[in-house]
Amino acid sequence: MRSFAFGILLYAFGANACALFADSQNRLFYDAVRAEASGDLDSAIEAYEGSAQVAHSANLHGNLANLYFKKEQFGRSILNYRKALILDPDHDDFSANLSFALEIAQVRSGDTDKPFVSFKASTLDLWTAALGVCFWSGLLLLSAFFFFRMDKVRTSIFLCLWLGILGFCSLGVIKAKEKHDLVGREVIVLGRIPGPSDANRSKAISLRRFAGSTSSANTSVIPGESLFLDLDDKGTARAHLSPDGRKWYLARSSNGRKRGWIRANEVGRILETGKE
Amino acid sequence: MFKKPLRSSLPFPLTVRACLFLTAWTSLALSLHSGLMAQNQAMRAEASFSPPSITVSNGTTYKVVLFGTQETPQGAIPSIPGLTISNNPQVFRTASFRNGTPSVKMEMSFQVKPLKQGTFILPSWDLKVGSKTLRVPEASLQVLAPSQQDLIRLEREKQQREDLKQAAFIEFDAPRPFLFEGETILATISLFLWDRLPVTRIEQAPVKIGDSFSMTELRQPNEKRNVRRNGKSYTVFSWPIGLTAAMAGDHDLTFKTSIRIRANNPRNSPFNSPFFNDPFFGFGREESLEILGPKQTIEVRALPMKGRPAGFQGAIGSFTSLSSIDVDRVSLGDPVRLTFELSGTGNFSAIPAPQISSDKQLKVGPPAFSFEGNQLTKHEGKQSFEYILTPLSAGLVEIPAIKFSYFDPLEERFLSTRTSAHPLRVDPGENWNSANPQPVVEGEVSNEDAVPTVDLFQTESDPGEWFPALQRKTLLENTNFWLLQLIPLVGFCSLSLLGFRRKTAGIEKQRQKENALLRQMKDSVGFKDAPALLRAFRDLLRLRIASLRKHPNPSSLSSEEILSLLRLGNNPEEIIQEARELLRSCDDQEFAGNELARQPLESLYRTSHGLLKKLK
Repeated sequence: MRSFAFGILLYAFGANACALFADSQNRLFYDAVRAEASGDLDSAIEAYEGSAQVAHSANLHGNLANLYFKKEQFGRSILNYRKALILDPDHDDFSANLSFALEIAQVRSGDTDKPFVSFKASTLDLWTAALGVCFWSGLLLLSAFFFFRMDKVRTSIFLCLWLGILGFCSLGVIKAKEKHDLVGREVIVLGRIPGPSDANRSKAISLRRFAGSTSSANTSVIPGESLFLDLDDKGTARAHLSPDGRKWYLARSSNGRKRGWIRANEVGRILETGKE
Repeated sequence: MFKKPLRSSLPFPLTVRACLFLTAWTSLALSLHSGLMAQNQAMRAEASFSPPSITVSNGTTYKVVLFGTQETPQGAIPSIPGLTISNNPQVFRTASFRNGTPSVKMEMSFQVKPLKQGTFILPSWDLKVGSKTLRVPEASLQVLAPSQQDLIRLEREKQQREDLKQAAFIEFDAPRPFLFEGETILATISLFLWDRLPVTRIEQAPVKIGDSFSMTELRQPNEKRNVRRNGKSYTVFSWPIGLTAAMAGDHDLTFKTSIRIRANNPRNSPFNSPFFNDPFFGFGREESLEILGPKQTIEVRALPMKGRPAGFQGAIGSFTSLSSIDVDRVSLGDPVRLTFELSGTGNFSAIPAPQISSDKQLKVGPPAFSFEGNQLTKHEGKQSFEYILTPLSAGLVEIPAIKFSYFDPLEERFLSTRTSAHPLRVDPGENWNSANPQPVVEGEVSNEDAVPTVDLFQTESDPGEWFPALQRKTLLENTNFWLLQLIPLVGFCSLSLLGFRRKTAGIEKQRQKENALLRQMKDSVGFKDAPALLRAFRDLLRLRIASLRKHPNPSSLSSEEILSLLRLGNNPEEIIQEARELLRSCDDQEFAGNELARQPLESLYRTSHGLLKKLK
């Protein structure tokens, strides 16, 4: 009886906590909209970021991207558009805004930005479901043929057709999974927060030979550009902690031509995978 | 009335029981002996009231004595209007010798309480003892008018109740004797506690009894001392509440509460010792006292239908309204804050936000609520509704006026207020796009059909669907997806199993059939039955050849068809020739009579059996 009452109390506490949790993200979102309406863009960004710490929505990241665009922080703007498009891949406005932001930021969209239409990361579930349906329906039909003693010629034709479709669906799953995994490794170059001494400083970020500020640059990337983190044997992002406490990632561009170490605070991961 | 078997219960305390323990053994032995002896004694029953005459406020005992038995009887006492008879009697069993004759009896005593004055006759009734039925004779009881002593006691009890009522009572003050349906009024619940009443604490805040009203939450009460009422001095605790009528009609409303008071110990029982049940050893024993307020009937009037505005949403009270916008010029897509304020007294907690619908020019987000005033009762103050509007087209846009309708309970009619409309200038919104001007190539004509940047980067005032994480689980990581695969897997396995069983069953059936035919051939040789031998051979040959060549219907194969199938299987010519001979013999036997009966059947059997073995 006591454990039952305790369970009820725990459930009530959990339900209240969930309700408060849900309220906080909405409250922060509306606070941000109000702050934006009153022209206080910094407070709006702060509130949106606070809301994004709790939960995610396509409109939240879209609004945040708009604000960063207004603040001319194109890296963060592009990052948030990408996040918004992950949640709502069919939103035309976000796609158009992203293209416009990439254009303004003078970023050439790589292969990942325009993936092969049929094998996009967002189609992974579709391919998986199609593979499942094809596999089982074919197998069931084959067993029905066996049960009803269908002649061998027809069965063979069907088998070939089935194996062909299965192969195509498997290819879809593999390719879409590759893209999906690639998004998990993708980071967007954010750039530096502009300061008073940075007036004449280049916006380009160096990809260094070694994980250290004194190391020479291999090449450079501009805010908004996509990079992909190298993974170690455990499947986590290959990182290095320098003596001054800064975290560095080894990253490369989609075509692999640009490669080097970049500071963790200079990039933003599209998906927070939790594998750090 | 009792209907279950009567059971005895000894009324003696434990100490007395212990003293009587030894004598009980003696009595038991005696009663056993006398019981056996007394089986011959005639059974009879007697009944009487003791005492037979009482006053209304007293009780009496209805006694039924059974002589000649100690068995548990069964029966039901007839009910008498005006008398309450307990159905849990006290039972005594006795055994004795009278003039050398053993005698047993059982006495049952029922407590009786009269409800009115008069003479009551309990008629005779039947009592079953074992297999025998006893008739219990009638008994009469005279209930007299209350005596002077009874009247004094009743009067004293009444006075005590009145004193108790005056010592602690609840009062409910409402501004009007009637309410309108849905109206919220500010009322007060007051708890009066006589200063001489040893109250230790208020155990429970007043609780409403009456489902037709809803009440706001009660917080800490206001305390007022030395309030004179009924010639006594009281401390008054009052709770202000917002009371809302839920449905029309005359409805009862009352309140109850309970307090803890220090009480004197009753000293008539040694078991009520304060050392046993009072942690303060008799100096602070507390008791709970429930206080029930007087029942009030409050009229709840329905709101009139006449003159009810279309936009009326249940607001009742007296209000003034005001609307404002935070900015009168914005860029396209930038949000505008519209605030609608409602001030006055009324049912603020039940007033929904006025409906402002989106149109082609403005997108309206959900409103935010805020209330300034007494948050507990929400009866008087200022309620604000804040909307986020997003202009959807450039130009001069008018934010429409907000009409608000309410019912005034004092004037008893519907009223409406209307705020003023707000003009809003919406600029196309190029100001921030110019931060990164696109290089204009000389001589290039600007393309009017280019991406309209003014329509881009609009702020969404609604968050849309929330997701706990950006990365959602894919189907491959979903356990339910994999569990779902079990359904077709089961279907596949079932179909395969059924197919396999069907196939093996067919093979087994054919094998049995072939064995039976082979046996028949053998038996035919023994019985010298040539036709049966040839028939069995032909059937067996059909079965074998159909099985080898996968022919669906072996029984339909003619001799020629069998031979052609043999040729298909690349059988040697001598086997085919042999088979032809045998099949011809079969046909001759079937169609031309018993010509082969002269041939030795053993050689025929050997030939046919050998042929069947060589088939391929």
